[in-house]
Amino acid sequence: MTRSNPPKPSAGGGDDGGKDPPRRRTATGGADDHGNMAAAQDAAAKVAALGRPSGSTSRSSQPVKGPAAKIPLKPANNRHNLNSIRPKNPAKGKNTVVLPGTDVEGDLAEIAAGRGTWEPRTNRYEINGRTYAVEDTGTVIPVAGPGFVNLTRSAYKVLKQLIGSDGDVRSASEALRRDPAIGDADWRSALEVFRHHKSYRGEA
Amino acid sequence: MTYGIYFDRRTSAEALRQALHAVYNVPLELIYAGPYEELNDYTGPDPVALITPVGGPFGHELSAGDKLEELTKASELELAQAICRVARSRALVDDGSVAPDYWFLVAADGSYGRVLTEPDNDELTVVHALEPIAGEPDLPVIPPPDWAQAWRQG
Repeated sequence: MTRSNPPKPSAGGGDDGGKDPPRRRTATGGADDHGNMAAAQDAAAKVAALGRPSGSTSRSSQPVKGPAAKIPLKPANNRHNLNSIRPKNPAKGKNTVVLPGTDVEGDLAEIAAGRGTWEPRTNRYEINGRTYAVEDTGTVIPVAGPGFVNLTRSAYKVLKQLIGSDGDVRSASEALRRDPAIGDADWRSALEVFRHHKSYRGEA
Repeated sequence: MTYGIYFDRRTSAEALRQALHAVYNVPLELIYAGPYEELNDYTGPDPVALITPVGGPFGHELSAGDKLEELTKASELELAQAICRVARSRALVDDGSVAPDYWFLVAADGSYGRVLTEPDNDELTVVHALEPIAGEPDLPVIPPPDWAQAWRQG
């Protein structure tokens, strides 16, 4: 397979059907700062003391259900956060990328405050339109929703190459030129996500 | 369809290449084995499968796309099982779940089961099994609680 230039991105968002990336409620520190449990607990305490955080839905608190009733939830692994993805991160068939500014910590705080919905049939929390699975360590796994983009293995590979090339699209394209797993659709999806990366400098 | 299988580094890349050829009759010149950075210098035809070195105990990544599926008609798991049996190797294969640290470990006899790998580590390293694996009887098994079975789709 030979390719000379990657396709220009459409206005689409990853594999989400070509729509603009959803607007996201921003966090004070930013999702990519990837705070710790203390930060999440502080946020939970604020939620408890002040009521709903800005931008939250009108749900009232309920008894905490699911794993959050047993163990503290921890933020997702760094490999999910766009600005923390490393070129050597192993890829699975489905890879969820968290776009900068997505308030995962705020979601965890709301779940801890009883505002998340636990679906035992699927082992998922839903909060603010986003869904999370939970590993046995308490680490949450972003699944779907505003600010999350699901990339295929090949699109994730392109994204990693773009990151490794420090935003040099031509260099990334040359590096992947003969890879039998990479196609034009993977480039489109990856570039849509890469536009949000700290090293993005255009597609020229 | 794409493939992304990580084989035990104790098996040589050439043994994996020969196994893929022996089982599925994939022409050897269409299987590139070597550093990814040198792929563009490969003088053969454009390959349908790559076996490239990565870090860690599962230090060979076999990656491929639709063309390998056309030649083998095999799923990712089936391909890993077949190669492991022939090359007497082990492999980590995507378990299909959303959890980045849950994988199928395929044993040398082709049996397989879910394992947990070290979180947030660029090098895939098995921590323990989540379910018994016939071909890996010495691997500790720690089943996750029901709520952590991230592979459930409902």
